[in-house]
Amino acid sequence: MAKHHIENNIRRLRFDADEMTQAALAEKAGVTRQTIVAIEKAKYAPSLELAFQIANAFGKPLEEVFTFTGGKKDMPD
Amino acid sequence: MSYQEKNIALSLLAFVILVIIFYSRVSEMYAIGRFDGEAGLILLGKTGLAFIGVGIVAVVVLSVLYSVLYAAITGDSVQKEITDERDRMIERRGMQISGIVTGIGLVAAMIALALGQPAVPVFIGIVMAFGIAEFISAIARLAMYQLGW
Repeated sequence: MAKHHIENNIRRLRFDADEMTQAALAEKAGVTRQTIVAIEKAKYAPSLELAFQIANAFGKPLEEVFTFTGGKKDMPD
Repeated sequence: MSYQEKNIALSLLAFVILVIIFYSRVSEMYAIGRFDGEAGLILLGKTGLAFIGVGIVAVVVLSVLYSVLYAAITGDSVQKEITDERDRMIERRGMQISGIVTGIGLVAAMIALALGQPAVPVFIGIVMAFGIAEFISAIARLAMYQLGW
């Protein structure tokens, strides 16, 4: 499996959002709870659209939820 | 286990049973010479097609039965169960694995023919390769779900 270079603050944001459950976040983002679990553990990198949906669910900008940690060499020219 | 995992496990069970039945049936028919000659090849083709048909119907029927039971037990409709992008990604990876295994089976069959093996067991092997490919694909998809990919 390719190593993902995307970290996230979902756990902390759920805590800040009155301990929002993974199931509640999943319902808001329109995915299964298992997908939220996989994203939260950084085992699955979501599509850009899903990343925006998760950020919207928290009412935060995308960069507050997800951070790219791959460095410059992984960036396209 | 999620709805998708249970569905894959159910399909896996159906495929295993069908492949075992297919293999035991055609082996028996081959042993008694039912596939000898040109008529035998026609019979072999019909048997293979029949099992593919039975396989598709069995998986569809089992899937529908499972959906009905799932709705009855949990009280949730299956429509409520979302198939999201991760499910689709796992499905795609499963299909890739299935394609690779089937391809290996086909190449192995060609090698067997090139080495002078009779056509009938090779044909049975090709059909088995499809079953094995589906089996490995289902195991891989279940593993991906279990590992949280």
